[in-house]
Amino acid sequence: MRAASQAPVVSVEDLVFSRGTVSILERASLEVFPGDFIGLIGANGSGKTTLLEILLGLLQPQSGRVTVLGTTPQLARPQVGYVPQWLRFDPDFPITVEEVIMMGRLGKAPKLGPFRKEDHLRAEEAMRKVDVLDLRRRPVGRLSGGQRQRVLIARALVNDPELLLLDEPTANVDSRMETGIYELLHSLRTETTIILVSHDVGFITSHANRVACLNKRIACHPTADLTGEMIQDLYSGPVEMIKHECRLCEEEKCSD
Amino acid sequence: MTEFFQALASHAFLQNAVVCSLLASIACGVIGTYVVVKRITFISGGISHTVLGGMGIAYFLGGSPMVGAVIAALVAAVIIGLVTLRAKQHEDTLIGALWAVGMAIGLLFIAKTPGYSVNLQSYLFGNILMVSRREVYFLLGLDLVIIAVAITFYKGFLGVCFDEQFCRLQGVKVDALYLLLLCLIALTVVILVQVVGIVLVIALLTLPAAVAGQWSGSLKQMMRTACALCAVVSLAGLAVSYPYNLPAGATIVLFAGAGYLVSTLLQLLLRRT
Repeated sequence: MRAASQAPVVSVEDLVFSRGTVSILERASLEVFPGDFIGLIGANGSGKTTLLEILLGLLQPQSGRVTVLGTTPQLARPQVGYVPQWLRFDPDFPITVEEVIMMGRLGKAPKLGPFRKEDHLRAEEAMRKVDVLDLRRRPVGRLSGGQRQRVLIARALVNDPELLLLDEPTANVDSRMETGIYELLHSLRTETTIILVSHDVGFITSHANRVACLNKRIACHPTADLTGEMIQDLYSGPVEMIKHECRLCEEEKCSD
Repeated sequence: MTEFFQALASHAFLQNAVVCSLLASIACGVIGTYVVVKRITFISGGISHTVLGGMGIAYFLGGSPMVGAVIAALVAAVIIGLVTLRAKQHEDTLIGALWAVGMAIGLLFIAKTPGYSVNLQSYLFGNILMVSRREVYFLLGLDLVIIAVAITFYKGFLGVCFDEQFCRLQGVKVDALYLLLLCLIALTVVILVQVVGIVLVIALLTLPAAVAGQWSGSLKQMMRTACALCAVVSLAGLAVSYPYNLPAGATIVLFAGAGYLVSTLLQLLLRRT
């Protein structure tokens, strides 16, 4: 049981959001506590990315209450790391791994002139953590999908965030690289609270401690309680559930 | 070619042209790189064509066409920037409108200016051989402003070009940086108008940077390569056009176009092998 005194990292209450006449979120509620690894799943268009953008303060809900780290999403931003989908970027953009990661320090570095030594040291530490230090001078366009995703994770980690938000980090990544990214996220679980948007229910059930099923509303379950029927309802179609090796079982944190 | 170098040693107008080409190459390499990676060529085209409006009004009022060009380019940059940021859906129409209206204003004011009519062709297609020493100093000043701002805000510009949304999350003043970048493009356009004229500015602003982008792994490397390429095509264009009495601006742009074609074909070949 969670200690009653423990303040939530994210608190979403009765959130309503629509684009024009299309309703995206309808009285969605969610609480995320320190150390949680939440897997956010749902069909395409169910509002997963919208919810992340509200948590980042990029979108304003029509009604409802959102707090992140006890304050507004905008004020919480310096303590939040965000990993977008790589597909948003131009693969031919001439930028090195180190330059992408240094971007994570833009909010802390002086507004004018170059980065300070401290910014470079922080970036180096983040590169070491996600194992891309030897790629630092390489253009990101020449990296594999998995390596690029690691670079974006390093950029999000460069300020030691208290909350890490990831938007489908394994989309368009081959299965071998995917495993590497999952291992990396699993290792970060002890350092920060994680909310991961993914369609990979297999990974989520074996690594996340709770699953938030989003379909305009949010139904949050302990991972072990997730059933094939629930997922079938969520995606509105037949699904086949394959049980992966459960990392939570290995660490005796699973009630399955 | 020998004829060009002999003339260069003795003619001040040719020396001015060479210095003007080199100054333009610096601004062109640095700012052209941002135009290419941010994919705002059409915006730059809009800015460059409004320049004629400013030049025409200045000419009509008896002022310096260069000053008119600077004011018109900066006004166009701010208008286009604000519309892009606040009402993206109207961006295309507005750029098209500024493009044509700017030219129309310029033509009307030039037509109605009393006295000798100005050689319109030199505004539209450039006449680098007519650049005076005073204009060279003016271009040097513009160049210094562009370089100082580009160095000071380098990391912000890089961030805004690569990932605007992430920069917003970091608390970076994305809108202000974007407007500043458009203003630098405006100043660069004014410099390049002296070399190749209003109509051909876009080619010189984008082609050397596009070639550099095909062979560079970082923005800084792309800028250095683009500056060098711009200097090479400008000087080659001058050197070839002078003895054959060809229009310098058009010759320079043809060199830039040929360079882009060769570079793209090489890239395609390398990707196949």
